[in-house]
Amino acid sequence: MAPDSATQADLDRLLAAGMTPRAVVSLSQLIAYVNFQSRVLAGLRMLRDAQ
Amino acid sequence: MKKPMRDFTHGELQWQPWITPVDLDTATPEQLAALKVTPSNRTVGAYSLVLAHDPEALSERSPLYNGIMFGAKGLPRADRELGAVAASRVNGCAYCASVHALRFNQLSKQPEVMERIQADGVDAALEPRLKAILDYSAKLTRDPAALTAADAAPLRAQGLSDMDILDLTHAVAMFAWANRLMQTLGEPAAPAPAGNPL
Repeated sequence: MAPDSATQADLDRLLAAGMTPRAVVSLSQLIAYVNFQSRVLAGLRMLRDAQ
Repeated sequence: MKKPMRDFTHGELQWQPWITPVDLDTATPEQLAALKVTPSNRTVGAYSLVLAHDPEALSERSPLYNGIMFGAKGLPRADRELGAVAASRVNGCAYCASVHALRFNQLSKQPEVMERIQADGVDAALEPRLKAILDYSAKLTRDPAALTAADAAPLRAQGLSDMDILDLTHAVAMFAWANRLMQTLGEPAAPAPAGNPL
């Protein structure tokens, strides 16, 4: 995964396809949140396995 | 497409959105509530104003962020900031890395730590406790599925309790989130020159 590869052109394509700014922000929030969630789960799994 | 200002710096950077921020003068009551805007406090940055396009997500995210990064008990805040910097280095978020390196310096009074990370990234040589935090934070960011029980041992050996490790995990994970918002909705920019009336 390479979040740094996102560009303004990627975002502009979403807007050009008819997505609202709100929908674009919601999509970024969702994808970013899942990355948060997966790391919390990985840490919890590590602590469980280290008992 | 080449992005400007991708190099890491521990000086100040700003963040330039790619999407028009919400205008406070036309914001909905839900957006104003999510931004915690009051008549006496209208100082809101561009990042928050972009996130305010989805006020439900923002109003859930803000208290979670504050609890994870500013909560008074548990792992020292400087250690959480180190986790944030490590995640931001691995993810390539120069803006987040610069902001949180400054916060680490303010909290820890150990500027040499961020100088080493500035030079050598997450491979920087640090004293053992900070190195254990840096290593775990980088691995959790880069490849969370690769973590095993053995990755807890260096942190425990440096005196971190399992609750401390959980605090660190939350901070690092928060920057998997924050970095991606910053990186998909805008880009870092050099600060305006001093004295610029704009």
